[in-house]
Amino acid sequence: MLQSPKAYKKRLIGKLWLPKAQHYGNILRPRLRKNKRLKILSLTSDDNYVEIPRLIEGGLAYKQDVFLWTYDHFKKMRLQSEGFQVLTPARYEDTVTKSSGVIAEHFPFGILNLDFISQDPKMSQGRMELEIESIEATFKLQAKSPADSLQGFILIYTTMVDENSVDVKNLISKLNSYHVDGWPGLAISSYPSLAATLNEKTGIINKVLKAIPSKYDYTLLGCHPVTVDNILSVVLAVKQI
Amino acid sequence: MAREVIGHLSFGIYKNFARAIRELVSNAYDAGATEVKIGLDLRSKTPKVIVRDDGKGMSINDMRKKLFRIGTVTPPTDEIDEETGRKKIGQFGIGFLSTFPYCDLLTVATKKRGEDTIVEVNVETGRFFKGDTFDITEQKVAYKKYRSDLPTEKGETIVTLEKIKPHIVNELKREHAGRPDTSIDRFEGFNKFKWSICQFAPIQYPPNQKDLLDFFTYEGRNPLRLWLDGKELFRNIPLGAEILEKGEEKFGDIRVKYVTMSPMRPVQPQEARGLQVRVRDVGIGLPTDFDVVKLKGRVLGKLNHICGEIHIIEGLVPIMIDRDSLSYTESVAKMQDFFRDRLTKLNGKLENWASEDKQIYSVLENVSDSKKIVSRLQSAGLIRYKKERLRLPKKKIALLSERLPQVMQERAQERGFEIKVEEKPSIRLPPIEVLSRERVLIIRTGHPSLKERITILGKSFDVSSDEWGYTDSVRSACKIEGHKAVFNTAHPIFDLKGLDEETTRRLVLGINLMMDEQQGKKAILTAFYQLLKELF
Repeated sequence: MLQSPKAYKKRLIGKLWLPKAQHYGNILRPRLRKNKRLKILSLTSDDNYVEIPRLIEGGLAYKQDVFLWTYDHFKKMRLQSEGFQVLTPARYEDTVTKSSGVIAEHFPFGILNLDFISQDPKMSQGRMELEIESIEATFKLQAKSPADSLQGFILIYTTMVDENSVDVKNLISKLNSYHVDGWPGLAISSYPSLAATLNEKTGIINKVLKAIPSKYDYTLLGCHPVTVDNILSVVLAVKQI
Repeated sequence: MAREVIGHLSFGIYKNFARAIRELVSNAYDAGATEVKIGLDLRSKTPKVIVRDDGKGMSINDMRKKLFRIGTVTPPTDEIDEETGRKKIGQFGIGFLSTFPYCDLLTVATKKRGEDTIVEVNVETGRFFKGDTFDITEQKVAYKKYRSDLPTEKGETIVTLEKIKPHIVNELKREHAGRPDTSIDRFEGFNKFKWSICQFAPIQYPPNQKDLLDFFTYEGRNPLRLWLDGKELFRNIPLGAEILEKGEEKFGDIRVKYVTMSPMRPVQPQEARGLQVRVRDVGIGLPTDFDVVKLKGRVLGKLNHICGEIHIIEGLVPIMIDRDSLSYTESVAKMQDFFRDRLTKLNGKLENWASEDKQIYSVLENVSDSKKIVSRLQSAGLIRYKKERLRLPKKKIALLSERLPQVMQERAQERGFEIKVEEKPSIRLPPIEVLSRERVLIIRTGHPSLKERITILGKSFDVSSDEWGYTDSVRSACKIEGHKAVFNTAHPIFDLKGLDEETTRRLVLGINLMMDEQQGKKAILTAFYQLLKELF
């Protein structure tokens, strides 16, 4: 059973998301003092989108630059009635990996809050692998989009670490299938074939997340994982080389 | 559906987009919604407006009977619905139809309280038009059912106006067209829409308007909360508006509660001038002065300073189908007469206040720290108008400080202040003091800075007045004692028509001074010429 969405968000916003976003926002947009004017994409819930006002009040974006994502048609309408721009109602991980063209025009973003817990995920085998694959696809979209003045971004990945083990071998080969010229790919031999425990899973996720940026010519500014019960949230900040 | 209803609709009565949205909000109100959220998505390729409420929702049968059967007239009732604590707004069953001209696709997704499914219906609104006029014919509308993620006991209705017509999108996106604030037509499109919604929708007064919130709390009034693009909306109340009067009246079979207000300057925007009539808490048309100027045949100079609200709280009110006017019944006529009379009297009251305020400002003109005194008098409500709002005469009004307590008497009484007059005060004390806590206003009439001074022919005199016997000569109208000039207020020269009091005093003093000081015809003529130059 998922932890109450309001509870985990409240803790993560104050502890990780907002302070790190502000820190890296300053690095990415040092000249803008009052508001960093970052374009935000946030996977969120219709009954709890508390991270948005916090990020806006925190001087990171204006409301008109916020795009929300929700998987459900009715949730989308509810969020739209709050005056938000909401993108396609579908699973983010499915859209970005299989039909990224639908959303490509909205990229790049300054902050990508990929909070998969807000999307009421089904705890099934292969879920986390797909989420990580979607991060790879997100990097690809970010790198492919016309360069803006920002030349970097902040990615927040939040997921529920469940009992299903992660098929690391399969994951690595999927990530390697996102071919980039001159990039040799992740060495499968340096990863275990399965990750079963919470520690193993968070370890693998961190390692993979740190490896993805260089593939798309980004320098890693920082990677900050936090675990709250069985929830893992990682803030990743990157800048173009 | 009656042909005349279609006629009304086709004739363009629903020409105002905000009023169409008002109809959706009114539907939500009747459905017992406590919260309504309106979102405008004008930047996407298919602009849309979403209106969501937490009312009781509808089943497919309810939709068939109420929503899609256009023109189902419900006999008006004055009963309060037990479930909602409200009196029903809808009568004609055409509110929903009012949105049709503004979009090409209308989606209604609704979940009825007590059920677990959402019913979603898509209506291609274009099918109901022939050119610019409604063509209401029977149309089949398909629907889909989904399992809802909401708890069974909750209801919800989401109406989405998709593919909004370009002229509406352009209007909503319109930026400043001119000087802002003066008229809603000069507002940015979004602000005009917002203003209109705030004006018409059955919502609450701003939280800082405690008097209005208290006064307009009555049985059957149960406003909903309304958000536009995530921001909560409240009734439009002009900044700084002060309540002039409030009351309750009965006219035939209708009972009203009313409040009149003024910000002590022209009410802005101009559309807010006059009294807003509300039935079931919904604005009927724009605020009106009931054509008082036309019917009374008088110019009412301060009429545009007045705004207010009239809530019809009891009785079956005959509202026209456009919901922008009332039928002219005997009760309505009586009500209109009453408010014409009130507006005329209030106009007189404001004109009187303005004239008194002018006199007070005039007396305070020579006081060194008058700004501080004025600000205290203003916050105690003892001066209503701001100085810049009044056209003070270039020449000082002839008001002796002794008359100040008299001028301020009525307003002090209204505000619960007692006036204390000190004729021989210490110079160190301010000439006027407001003791708000003690509700005392001290006017130190003998204070030197309140003393009127007249400067004439290069000399300055403290002025006071008295009465004594007089002759035809101007000499008996004034006595000069050193730096003091005492005027004989009994002298008929002060009743002279054509000259104001100030000029008369200066003339009298000047002649007396000239006669006292100048010797020889030539010197007197030169001084007289100088005096006339100074005066006129």
